[in-house]
This record gives sequence, C-alpha cells and structure tokens, in this order.
Amino acid sequence: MADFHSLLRRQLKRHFPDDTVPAGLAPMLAAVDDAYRQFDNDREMLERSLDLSSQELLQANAELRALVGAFPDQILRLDVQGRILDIKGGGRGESVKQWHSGQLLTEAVDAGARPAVAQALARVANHGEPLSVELELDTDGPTLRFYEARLLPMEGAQILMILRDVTERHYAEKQLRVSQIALHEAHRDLERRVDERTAALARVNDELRREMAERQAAEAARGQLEDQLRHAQKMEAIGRLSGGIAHDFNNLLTAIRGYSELLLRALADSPLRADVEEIYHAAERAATLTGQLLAFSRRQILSPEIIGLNQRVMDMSRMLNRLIGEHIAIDLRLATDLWSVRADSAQLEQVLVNLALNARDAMPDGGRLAIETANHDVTAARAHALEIKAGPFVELRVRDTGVGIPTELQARVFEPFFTTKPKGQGTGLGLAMVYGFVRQSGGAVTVESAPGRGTTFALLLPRTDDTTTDRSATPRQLAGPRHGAGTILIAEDERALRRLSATVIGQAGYRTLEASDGQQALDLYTVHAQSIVMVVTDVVMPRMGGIELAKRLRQLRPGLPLLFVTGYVEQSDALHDSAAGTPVLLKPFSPDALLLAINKALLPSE
Amino acid sequence: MQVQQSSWSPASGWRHVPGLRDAQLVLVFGDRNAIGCDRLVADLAAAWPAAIAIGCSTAGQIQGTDVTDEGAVATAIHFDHTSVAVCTTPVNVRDSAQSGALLAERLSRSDLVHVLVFSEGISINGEALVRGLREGLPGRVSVTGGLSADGEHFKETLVLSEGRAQRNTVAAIGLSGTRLVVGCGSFGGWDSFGPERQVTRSSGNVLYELDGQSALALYTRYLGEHARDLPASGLLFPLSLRTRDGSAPVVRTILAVNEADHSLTFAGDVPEGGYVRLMRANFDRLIDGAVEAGRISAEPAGAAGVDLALLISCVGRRMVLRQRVEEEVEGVRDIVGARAVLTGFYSYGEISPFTPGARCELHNQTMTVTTFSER
Repeated sequence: MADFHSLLRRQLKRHFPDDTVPAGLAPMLAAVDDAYRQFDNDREMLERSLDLSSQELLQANAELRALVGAFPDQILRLDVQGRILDIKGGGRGESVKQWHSGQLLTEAVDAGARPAVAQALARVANHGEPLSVELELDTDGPTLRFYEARLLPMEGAQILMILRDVTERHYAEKQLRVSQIALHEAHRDLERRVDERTAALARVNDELRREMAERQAAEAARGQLEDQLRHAQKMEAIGRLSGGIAHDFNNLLTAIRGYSELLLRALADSPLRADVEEIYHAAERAATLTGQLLAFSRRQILSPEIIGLNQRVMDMSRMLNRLIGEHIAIDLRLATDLWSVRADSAQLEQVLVNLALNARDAMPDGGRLAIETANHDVTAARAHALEIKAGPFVELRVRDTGVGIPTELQARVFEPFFTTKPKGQGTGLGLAMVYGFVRQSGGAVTVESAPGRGTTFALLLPRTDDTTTDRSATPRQLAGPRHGAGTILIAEDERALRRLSATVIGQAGYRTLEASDGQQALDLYTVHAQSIVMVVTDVVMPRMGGIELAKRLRQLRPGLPLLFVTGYVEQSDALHDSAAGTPVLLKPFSPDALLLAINKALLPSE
Repeated sequence: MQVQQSSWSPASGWRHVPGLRDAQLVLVFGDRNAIGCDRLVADLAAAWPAAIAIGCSTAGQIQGTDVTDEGAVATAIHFDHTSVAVCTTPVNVRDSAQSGALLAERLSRSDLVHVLVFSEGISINGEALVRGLREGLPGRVSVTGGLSADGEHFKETLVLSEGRAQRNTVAAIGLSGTRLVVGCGSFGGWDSFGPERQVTRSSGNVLYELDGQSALALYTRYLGEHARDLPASGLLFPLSLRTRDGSAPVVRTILAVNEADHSLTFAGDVPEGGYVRLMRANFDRLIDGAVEAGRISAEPAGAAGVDLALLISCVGRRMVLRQRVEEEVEGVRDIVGARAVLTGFYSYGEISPFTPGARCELHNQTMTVTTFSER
C-alpha cells in the first residue's frame, strides 16, 4: 500500500484509518493505482504538450508580428460595419492621416473615396469574396497618394484590409499607358511604313519577275528559233547534197533512157526488146525518184499557176477517199474567202496524195483525216523562224488521228530517205517532196504530233494578189522530129550524154560537132562557123561554162540559135535572166524532147 | 452463416471443446508466443480439419467485449453461401506494392466480394501494400484487414496462414458469393494540436525532418521522459498528414526509430511537401470514434443484423485507453447488436475504407470494423 499513488494512499487512509483494508480489494486497488498513475502521465504529457505548443505559438506569433511589422503595407482588421479594430504594418512609407482603432473606415477616408470604400465593404461582407479597389487618400505628407486596398473576409465576421501605397506604381502605370499609346502610334506608323515599303517592294518584285519571265520567254523563243534555224540549215545541206546526186543521176539517166529509146526503135521485132523495155522502165522509175529528190532540193521544174486551194481540195477529196480506204473518214473544214496561192497544181496534188498516204499508214485501224484551210498572217518573228517572208499566207492543214510521231523523230521526217515504215513500203521521199515543194513555192511546212494523239502537217503557201490566169497557152504543137540539115555543135562535159545527143541529132539528119567544154566549143565554132546552124550547150562545164560560151558566140554571131541543156532549175532561172529568149531543155530529156527543142530553137531562123 | 468462438492457451489448449467442425474459415488472433506455437497450428487443424485458418500476432485480441493479451482466440465460421480462398506471400518494405498486387491477382474471380488481409506489421510499407491490392482488384471488391502486432514491443510480428506462422508474410482471404453482405467503417477520434509543419525530408515511409528540424528531436521533446519508450510511446502522438490542399488528412503512427540517422519509420508514406500536425487523444472522442465505425459498418446488414464483426483497432488507442479499452469494444457491440460475434485485435495499422464504397486506405489510430452476414 505504501507504493500506491499518493492520492490513493490518502483516500485509503481516510476510509481505512487504521490500515484495515480488506485483502480482497488488493487487485482492485492495484487497478485503481494504475489508473491514477496513468492519469498523471496523461496529464503530465498534456501539460507538456500545452506548454510546448504555447511556446511554439508564442514564437510563431512573435515571428509573425515581426514580419507584419516589417511589412510596408498597412493591415487593418475591420468589423462588418467597417470599424477599425486594429492597424498593423506600414513599416515604411507615408501613413494615411488620422486613422486609429475604433474609427469607421467610411468616415476616416476622404470624402471622395467613401462611396468606393462603402461599396467594397458591403460586397465583401455580403458575398464573402476578396476584392481590390484603388483609393486616392490624404496622408500626413504634402500630397494625395494612391493606395490599393485589398479586402478579405475573415472568420468571426471580420474583414482584413491590406492597404498598399501604389502611388509610384500608379504614376508609373500612367506613364506606361502614355508610353504605350505613343508606342502604339509609333507601331502603327511603323506598320504603315512597312506596308508601304512592302507594297513598293512587291511592285518592284513583280516588275522584276515580269522582266525575268519575259527574258526567259525571249530566251526560249530564241532557243526555238535557233533550233529551227539549225534544222533549216540541215535541211538545206541535205537538199544540196541530194540535189547534186540527182543532177549527176539525171545525166546518167538521160543517157540510159535515151539509148534505151533508141534501142527500142531499132529492135522493133527483136526478142531483146523486152529486156531493153525493162531497162527503159527502170530508168523511168529512177527518173521519178530523182525528180522527187530534186523536188526536195527545190530544183524541181515548177509550173506555178493561181490556185483556189479550196476548190482543188474538194476536187481531190473523192480520189483521196478511194486512195486511203473507207475505214478512214475525211473531214473538210475549208475557210470561206480563202486567199489564192500561186503554185504548181500538179505538185500540190502530189503533196496532198503524199500526206493522205502517210495518214492512212498511221491509221491502220481507221480514223479521221481532216483537211483544213485558213487565211493566216505570219508575224515577222514566226516568219524568221520559218525562213519565209512575213505576210499573208494560206494555211493548209492535214490532220490525222493516227499513232503519231515520237518527238525525237519529228525533226527528221522531212529528210529524204527517212522512213519509219517497214522496208519496201516507203521510199522516204514523200514528205521530202512535200517539204521541197512548199519551200520552193516560198512557203513552209511544220509538223505537230504526239504518240497516240495523231499528227498535223501545216503547209503555209504565200498569198498571191495576182488574178491573171497564167496558165500558159497551150503550146503550139510542133511537128514531130524531123530530119534537119547543117551542123549542130554540142558542148557537154558528160561524155555519155554528149554521145547520146550526138547520136539523136545525127539520126535526125544533122551533122554534129562535139566539145567537152565551152572553150573547146568556141574553138570548134571558130573553125566551122559557116556550117554550124545551132549550138546545144550544157551550162556547167569545166574551163568555160555554157553562159560564157553563149555570150562569146552571140558576140561572134548574134542570131545564132542556141539551146541550153541543164539539170539545175535555179540555173534555168539564171539563164532566163542572163540570156533572155534562149530556150532551155531540162535534164533528163528524151530523144524526142531534144529534137523538139532543137526544132523550136531553129524555127525563128528558118 | 454460423460463428463459434474458442479461446486457446499454450498451457491448457482449448478452454472449451471447439464446435462447428465443418467451418470453412477460422480467424485466429493471439500474442506472438501463442501464434508462433506449433501446437496451436496442430490444434486448429484437429478442431477444423476442412477450414482455412488465418490470423496474426496482436497487441491484444478481442473476444466478445473482452480484450486479452495472452493466448489466442479462434473464431470458426461456417458460410452457407460463400466460398473461401486463401493466398499467402512474402513481403518487405521495398516490395509491399508488388505483394499486394500478387494477392489481388491470385484471389481475383468474377464473384469475389471481399478480401480480408493480415500482414507483417513492422517490415512493411502498409500504404504500398494497400495500393497494390487496390489497383489489382475491381472497384466493387472491398478490402479490410490489418497489420499484425507485437504488443508494445515492436520487435517481431507473425502471420499465421496455410499451417505456418511466419515473419515478413502477408496472407489474404478471398470471400466470394452473391449472398455475402459485408460492411466496413473506420474512425479515429484524435485531435490535432499545435502548429502545422511541413515535411522537408523523407523517403517513402521514413521521416527525417519537419520544417528543416529533426523529427525525432520533436518527438523527444514532446514525449519527455517517455521518449525512452519509443517507438511505442510515439503512438501517443500520431501525425495527421495532409498531402495536398483540401485532401482529407490521414493518421500516421511510428513503427520504428533509428537513432543513428535520427529517422522515424511510419506505417505509411510521409511524402516530402506534405503538412503534418501532432495529434493527441481525447478519451471520449476515441470511444465515440469506435461507435461511429461500428455504425457505418453495420448499415449494409440492415435489419437482418450482423453475424460476425471483425474489430481491428490501433495499438495506440489501447495504450491511451488502458483500462478503458473495452469501452470502445462495448461501444461497437451496442451498435452491431448482441447477436453478432465480435473478434479482432489491436494492430500496428488498419486497412479499410472510411465508409463502404470509398477508397481502401491504410490507417493508424482508428477503430476499423468489418461486419459479415449472409442473406
């Protein structure tokens, strides 16, 4: 019992003064003793906790007070009526004048600020939400100052108001607003100037782009013109080459064909006649090819006449229909008031035939062939590119819906012997003939095509204003070859041709003298001038050509009949210019044609 | 559903001959010596050969309205419409969440209604364990239970499951069936006092500093001479932890003290940046709290009443209430009714939602009541 809690000992002493505690109470007393001790422990711990918490609270309070005291803002605690309960803070700066605890804020502030303060207090009290207002208040200092009042609801129907002096900020913001306006104006001015400069720059840029585009277009056009020029020069070169070959062939073919004719006359009933006929026909076919080559090289003999292209196309359409077959439809789109052209009618027909045949071959499964005519004014630039004279042209367009021509081959289609047809199905001279004819007629031909999208050939022929019919009057029918008399001097550097001419003329009853160049012919004439009735001379010969020879002979004997023989059409034009009135016989010629020409030349003198 | 209780002591075995031999589940709570006794395991197997026996060491076991410190109390349960499954797995501080997830995975089935979990009480992050369980189970499945205890010694706790009592172990029961009615509630009754302090240094559930000062020094100052009884005396000053503004505070109590690094180990995480206040007991409010937990837990059973109430209360409450500890058990009894069999224990941590349907969490210093009945 002596170990029991002091309170329990006192109670036991009071209730059992003579220490007569029944032994049966011992367990209960032990439990009570334990409970008392526990209570003591609990109380001790509680008191210590309270003490420690109080200390911590005091310290926190002191720290908070120090913090608030150092705070530049004034912190006012108000009741809901706006009565100032206490004022804290405001450690520096100018204090608001004459504010103290117990004062109503709405009375303390300047008259001008009272409505705003009353309204703010009411809102915070009624809605329980914080809000801020800016107030202009009198201070102990010389001037009014601006304050931001932040009002916050507190527990216990109180309001906390934090009053912050924002005078400097107020003026700074005011200054800032002025600066912002100025800046805004400057910005707008800058934007305007930038817009103007941008617009100007855009204009310059557009101009620059336009110039660049024009320059590029000009360069492209120049490139195209250069391509076309190169192509034209190439075609010219090919023409000269093929023309030269054709000329030489002409001499040979004249001899072969002439001798064949002579042989045929001599072999009327001979079994060899059939063989000679084969030689003759072969020579004829070779002459046709040579003719086409000459046409390409623009050395064809043309008989230009005024042609109404529409009428000529319509006349040919039925024939073309038969030629290309019924599986291909022909569309004629002919312009009204089409201008006239001056061209060789027969050659033009051949051109149409060649183009139609090409179209047929391009459309094995059928299609449409359009033939169109139109008037066309060719500009200087285009004329330069096409190597024609600028001005009015009649355009003849032949368009098919066939397989088309690959781009890389289009530049070569007019070359002689160029063909995409299987071997044996084309000579490669059809389009070359078209080219030569059109060029020789003063025009141009172009091709437009794309694989699978058909081909269009466009022929430009110069318009003619000549309305006279220049179809030559039907030539006077000359009598057939007749036997002549006298000596005919033959000047020809090609031996075979010279021999043929001598034989034909000889068989016609003339005597002949043969010279291999102009000089020799002039020498022979000097010796046999009395017996010579006529001179037949080639134009191009070594040492002295035919024109020079003719000039010398005319000086010796102005009325001497002369006959030029030539294979060059341009020479025939030159001969017309230099020896007007002197007849010209073009190679290849037949024996009869030679004799007819001789007869014709001799006629005036006879 | 039938429930029968028997008490057991190492010296004399069963106090009464155990009945309800066909029970499927036996809940066993006892002091560390009793739970660790091989004979207890043998006696349990002999008395209820078909039952799953599960339980743990305690800081006082509850039998009816009695709270005892010695021996063990076994509560045999025969379910008429409910099936029982058990799962046991090792656990430690680092992999507590994985252990929880494993239990959830093993026990999951379509008609799972409730999971009852008993865990290692010291080497554990109870909050992580609960998180693993919660994330692995469907939201409709409720989880309650507790961390095993070792009186006021905080030395070694045991979990009894599948015929063995082991340290570093967590065991759980899965109760499945459509007619099982489970209610649960948890309530504290502690008051916060003093200033709020910020957690400035911590790692998981280990706390080092509050407001830049040693947390251990703070406890030592407040406990005075009782500081020598740490960590047990730390239970007298649990922490109210608020992890973010507006969130409901949770209570954390000390499980261990490390004098070397001046750290305190709590039953759950004490994250840096969180705010804590010390708490103190108020006897009347503690008992009122227990009654409130009982009231919440009994609501689902309704008028049909509760057959079994499992009470898991905090050892800290017992240390405060001392001789009045049975008042909180009696308070629960008054709510759940005299028909209900009461069992349970004083723990190092309680696992339960505050209310049915709420998120399951680890608590300290609460009375947690789980009620069972079958429709």
